[in-house]
Amino acid sequence: MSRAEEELRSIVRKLLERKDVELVLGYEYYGRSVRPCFVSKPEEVERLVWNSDCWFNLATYLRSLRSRRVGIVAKGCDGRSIVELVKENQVDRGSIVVIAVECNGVFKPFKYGSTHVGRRLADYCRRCVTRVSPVADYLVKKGGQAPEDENTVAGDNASDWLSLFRKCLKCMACVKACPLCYCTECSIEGFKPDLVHRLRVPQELFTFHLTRALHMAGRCVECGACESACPVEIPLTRLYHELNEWFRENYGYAPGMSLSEAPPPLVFKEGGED
Amino acid sequence: MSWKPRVIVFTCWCSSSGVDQAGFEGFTYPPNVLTVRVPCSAVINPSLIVKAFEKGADAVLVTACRPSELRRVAPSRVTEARVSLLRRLLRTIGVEEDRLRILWISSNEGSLFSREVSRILGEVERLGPLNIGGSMVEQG
Amino acid sequence: MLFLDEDGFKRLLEQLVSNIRVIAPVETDGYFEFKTIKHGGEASLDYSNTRLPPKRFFLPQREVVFKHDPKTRALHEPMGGLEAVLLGVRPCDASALNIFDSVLLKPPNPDPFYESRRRSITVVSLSCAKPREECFCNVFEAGPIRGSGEDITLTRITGGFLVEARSRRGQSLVEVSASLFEEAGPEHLEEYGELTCRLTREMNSRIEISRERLVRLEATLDEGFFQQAAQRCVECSLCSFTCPVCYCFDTEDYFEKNAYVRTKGWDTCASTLFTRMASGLDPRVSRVDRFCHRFCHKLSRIPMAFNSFGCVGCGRCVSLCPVGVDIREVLKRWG
Repeated sequence: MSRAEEELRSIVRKLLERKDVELVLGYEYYGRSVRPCFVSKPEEVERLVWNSDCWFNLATYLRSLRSRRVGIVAKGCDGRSIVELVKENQVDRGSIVVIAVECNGVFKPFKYGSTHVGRRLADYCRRCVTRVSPVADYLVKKGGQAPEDENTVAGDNASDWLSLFRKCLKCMACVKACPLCYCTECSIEGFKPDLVHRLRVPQELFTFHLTRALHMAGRCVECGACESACPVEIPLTRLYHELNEWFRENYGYAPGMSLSEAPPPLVFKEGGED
Repeated sequence: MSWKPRVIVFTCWCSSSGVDQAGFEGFTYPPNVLTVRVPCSAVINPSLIVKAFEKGADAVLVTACRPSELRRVAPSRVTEARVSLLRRLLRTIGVEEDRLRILWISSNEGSLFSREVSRILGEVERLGPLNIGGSMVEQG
Repeated sequence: MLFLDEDGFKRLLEQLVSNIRVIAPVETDGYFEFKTIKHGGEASLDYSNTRLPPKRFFLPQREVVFKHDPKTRALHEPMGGLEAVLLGVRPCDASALNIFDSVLLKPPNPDPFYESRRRSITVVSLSCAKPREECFCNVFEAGPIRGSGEDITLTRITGGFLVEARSRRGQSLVEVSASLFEEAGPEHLEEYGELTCRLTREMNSRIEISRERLVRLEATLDEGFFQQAAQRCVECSLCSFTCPVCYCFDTEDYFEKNAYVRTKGWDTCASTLFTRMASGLDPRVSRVDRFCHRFCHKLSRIPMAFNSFGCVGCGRCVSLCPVGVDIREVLKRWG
């Protein structure tokens, strides 16, 4: 157990003992991998872990726990998505306690049938801009050991997106793992069958992915949950990153960096001459 | 049979009368240009533009009012921003970004419309067929 | 049992490829996927398992049921199925076909699309030498050496393969190139026996459960446990789409290119749309209900109705689930 883990556990124990929160969202081991866990009793705190396998973005659960006071273990990108959720009035900042953990990047998760033996740093972590969450009530420094990366070459940037889309099963894991995809009637899940019907795979995968990209543009915090959840490993974060770049170039805006910064589409000003 | 590009034009209320004007004034534009009239260019959901590409459009044009002629400038600027974002997206996934254009067309600019459309059509013809729908279905 | 040496296997593969469509695991980007191969060298047999099950060759993700032209009133029913050999299916995935058979071919209304595909594809399974750590096929007797839906079982031993024809179709495939095979010697059989023993022991040491108790899962449902477990589920449908056994489908009617088309495609019980009716009523309204349903259906309802479990223990859902929902926890608790 690392020092960071010890510190994390003591913070969570304190929070639960003082009844500051009803529930803490954290990570636990199961087998070789790490999965989200919900800790509600001080004696369960020993389950909590924090290392470079904790890739899932726990902010995904915040909306379904809206009525409760919850603590959440948040990496830099998770913190950014909490900021976005607060800005979009999906969660109440006052009812969540953010336990920020300093993150050095996460590994790609082990996938069924993979022939890769070594652990690899996830591609999106190479583009990371915030190692610590922009909002934090508690801070655990020096979280997770620096990942030993066997593959120092950055991911291949040029790829045939259409053939990547074609692999898609449309299992919706990207949508459901995303903290910011919270619509109860998702336009690409099939609630609006004229745009994307549930069954038209692969015909409508182009619209499926591009619509999702457009909905994530300027909102995506590049936490990589979609990419790591994907069973066929479509590098979605790279696509969303490009659109975020567009926002950065045109408006100097990056999502989830501060609570006071309004998203550009919201404050769109009439401007310029034609 | 020689291939003709299929072009979808989303026209706002004002610029659609510009398109009509082209007809009144005897300017022609090719028959493979299909216009879809919408109340304002800012209501065009970018997903519909994507859908148009998926359904077999080789190019999509959005015609909007000139920002300088509007009492409020924002709607056309919103469209401009969306089209620019969408062009970035198309470029990223490897579709030529010139397949999506925005044109400023006022209600009396029929000649401009027919001229521009013919020019763009020529460019699209050089780019060749897109066929997103077909390439998605093909077995990899 | 017959023995086929390495060289004979290569020759058999070449023979098959030149005569018939052969689908075999091919390595692409660090994964194995079933693909049609053009020559024997393309197939790679050093895989733990393919990322996705071979389900799509029997139940495509989307298929046309019929097309109807309103003008000519012609009804066109495409009935698919190229003759093919599906090579290198793991016993667990092959056993899934057996479950398909009992569910989809049950009289009086067998699924004609599945039936035609099942008839035209010969399944050759390759037994596992090193089960993955997520695997639990021993629980459902779906491996690791023999499955239950294949036509031929290959088992890798020193110097070649042991070949066991499991069906008439498998028998005839063996007979076509009978000269390549030889009768398995005692040393081969001995090795086979040892391998079976070792693997069974290894699998049983991981997880061993009582199947009779498992069937009563639904009757003795502990909602507290499922509420705890379902908390974690984000309701993506990854588990059903990557499951070799999940066979639920939905149909869609639409008008396209002057014809009415009815298609059928994969559906999933994890989706909120799965049980929602036209009136808006949804009998499985909460996340816990849908979560429970998945396990009850696989482990309790399918066995009661069809006498075989709806799970083969391939471990895909365990490994791929983004939030670590683990069916083995349910098994260990009720088995």
